[in-house]
Amino acid sequence: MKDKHLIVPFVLLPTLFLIVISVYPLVYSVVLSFFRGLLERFIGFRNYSDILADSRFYAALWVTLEFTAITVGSEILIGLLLACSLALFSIKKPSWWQTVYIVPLAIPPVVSGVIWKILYHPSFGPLSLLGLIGLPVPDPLGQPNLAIFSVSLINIWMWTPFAFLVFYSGIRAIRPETVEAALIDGASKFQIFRTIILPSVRTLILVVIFWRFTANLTAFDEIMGSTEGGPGFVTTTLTIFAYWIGFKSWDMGYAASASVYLLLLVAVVGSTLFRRLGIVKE
Amino acid sequence: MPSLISKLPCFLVRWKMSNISNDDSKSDNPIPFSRTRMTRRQAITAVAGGAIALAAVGAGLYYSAPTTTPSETTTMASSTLPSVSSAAGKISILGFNGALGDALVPVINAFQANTGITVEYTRIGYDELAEKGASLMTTQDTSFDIICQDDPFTPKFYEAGWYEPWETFGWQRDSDIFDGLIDLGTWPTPEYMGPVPPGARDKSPKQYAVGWGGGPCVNYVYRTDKLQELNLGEPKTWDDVEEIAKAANDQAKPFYGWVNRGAKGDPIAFDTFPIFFDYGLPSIFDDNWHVIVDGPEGVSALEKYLAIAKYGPPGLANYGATEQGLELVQGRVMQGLPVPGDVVKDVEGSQSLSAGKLKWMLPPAGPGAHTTIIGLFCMGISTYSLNKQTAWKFIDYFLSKEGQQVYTTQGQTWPLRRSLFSDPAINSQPWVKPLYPGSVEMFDAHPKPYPRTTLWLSLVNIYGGYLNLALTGGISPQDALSKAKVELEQELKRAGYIP
Repeated sequence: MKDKHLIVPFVLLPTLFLIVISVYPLVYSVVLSFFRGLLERFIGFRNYSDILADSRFYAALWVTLEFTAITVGSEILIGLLLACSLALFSIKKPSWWQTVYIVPLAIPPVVSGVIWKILYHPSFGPLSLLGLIGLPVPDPLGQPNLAIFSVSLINIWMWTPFAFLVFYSGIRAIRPETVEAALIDGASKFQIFRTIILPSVRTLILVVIFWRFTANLTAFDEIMGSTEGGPGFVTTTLTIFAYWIGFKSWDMGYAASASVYLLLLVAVVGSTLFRRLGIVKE
Repeated sequence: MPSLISKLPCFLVRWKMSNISNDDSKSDNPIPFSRTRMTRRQAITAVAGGAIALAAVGAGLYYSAPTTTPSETTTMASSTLPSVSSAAGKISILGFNGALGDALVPVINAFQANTGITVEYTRIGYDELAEKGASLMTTQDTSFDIICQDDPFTPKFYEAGWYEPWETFGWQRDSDIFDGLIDLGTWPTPEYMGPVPPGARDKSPKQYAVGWGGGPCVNYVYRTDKLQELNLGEPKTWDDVEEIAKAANDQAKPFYGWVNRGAKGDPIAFDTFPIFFDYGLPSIFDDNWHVIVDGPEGVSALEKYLAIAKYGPPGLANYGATEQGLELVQGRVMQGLPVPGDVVKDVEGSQSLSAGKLKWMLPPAGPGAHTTIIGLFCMGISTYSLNKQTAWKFIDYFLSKEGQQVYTTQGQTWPLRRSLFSDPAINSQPWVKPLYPGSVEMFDAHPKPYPRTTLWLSLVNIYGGYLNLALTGGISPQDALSKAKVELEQELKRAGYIP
């Protein structure tokens, strides 16, 4: 390296920073996982084996996958739909709509959870008005068969704007000459959509799938703010499970081992998506 | 969808025209920058959105931020009272936010005025208190001399030796202080309060703390005026409660027959314990920590609770103290199981539609017993304190008749002493009046606390989770308790409580 004096500010310091804010907590978390409670008693891999025999862990894993599948699928579809609709229709003031669509992104997830908890509340929220006109009042967060969808809706509401923004920018980057040429060649409208539009945003779709998949596997705030994992355990994802074990039950070691499994899950799913979806080519 | 697709190429052509007219055709990017640039309105919207978000975050931080009080007190103590230079003349208390924690401020003021000892009172949110306490103790921190904790977390303090035994300071049991409050601070726990953890069985009991803030017990309340209208008598049993709930319930008004905290975990577990006790369960465990809640008594108790709770408001499964208090304040419920410390000031306050119309009493009896559950914050001396004697002086003053008089009259809460509860000058105070004589009867009924184990915070999440699921109708009472048993025993085995 020619400019050796730049090594300290541009290599060593950022590396040190990364170690402090990222590697150290990770290592500490792994260390914690070998102890009972908060570094109380060293028990080796006992937490890891115990958790594999814990039915709550598998239940939470299933809820996590269910939640992630519902939210990521919906966010991609709705985001694409919104992006296309804003691009296709002669909507007045599109920039205004663009702003409206992205407002949820400005609200902290935990606040979103609380807002939706109130909106969903059958006694104190707007839904209670249904009762005044004699209609049955639903309890979206209190009914076990509805709760996972109700919580997912909060995440979808929060993160669809992100997908929309990415897709919208992708559609706008398509060169109109390409479309014009296709039209002259007699391509049908659907063919243009399928052969020009979709391939153009394909990489973006993959990026959004990757990003939202890995993020939603660890979603926490909106679930904690609305149901805290209930009713019962039907919305208890792995992060909520780890939180309850760590910060309600005070078994930090067990929670840390659950977190390490979650980390492995995210890493495996993330790298698989990276390869399978062709974001990187080997 | 097809109509959207059909319009796509047209849109792109229009787009091109727009580009040309904006003279951006030379750019590689077909999207003119002017179209993506943020307008003033967008900027204002974004700034406003950001401000709202920041305000919300700020509000959250404000509510969770530690508050050191009484700041005036501390200032006053250092300015108007003889200055105290030695470390022994100053103590620090770690307590909790909110009205329950506020009640201690007048006692601190009086103690400072009487002794010249400076008291720093740091208060933090409920959820942080256990975490803070545990981290202080594991690091052998000497910052705080007196540490308050909610009672389910105190076994952790007792077992780990994080609280100093009061025998060191010459503590003598005072019969005027309610037994339940003292027994909550005794370790190993007295037999009537449930099984003793395996590691603590052979230890001789010592006093480590006293229960004082919040609670004290789950009360039963009913609307006296409505009961008269219904021409029904005061309930003696849980069957009577169900009958009243059914008779009073009118969802159309709405006026509900029942309310309690139905949220998962601690709220529903705590509030329903009296029913389980009354149906004959001494605890949800036997003396050797085997789970017995799935037996016939437990199933009957849960079935009875669910039969009553079906007359509750919609969304009861998400009800915490706030929602329960709101229902009572709005005068929309006939009866319920509130914990006075959480709600009594609001429910009996001038804005409440139920004020003066509720009777607070020991919950009705079941086929097996007639008692309730006790649970409140405890106060003990940190084993790492450098000012233990001074800290003891404060606790001694707090528990004294004089200290309790200040605590009750100026702190606006209930007294820990029987003689003060029975004193007309005290029990006529608006914040004590609703609780007298009900609370005294409850203390005399030997209320039991949550099972005394360091594992309870873990176990209650399982147990309270299944009760909550049963409340939503997602699982039958028998299945809920059977599944809870399996998972509870899994935890107990992991901790070596059962083989």
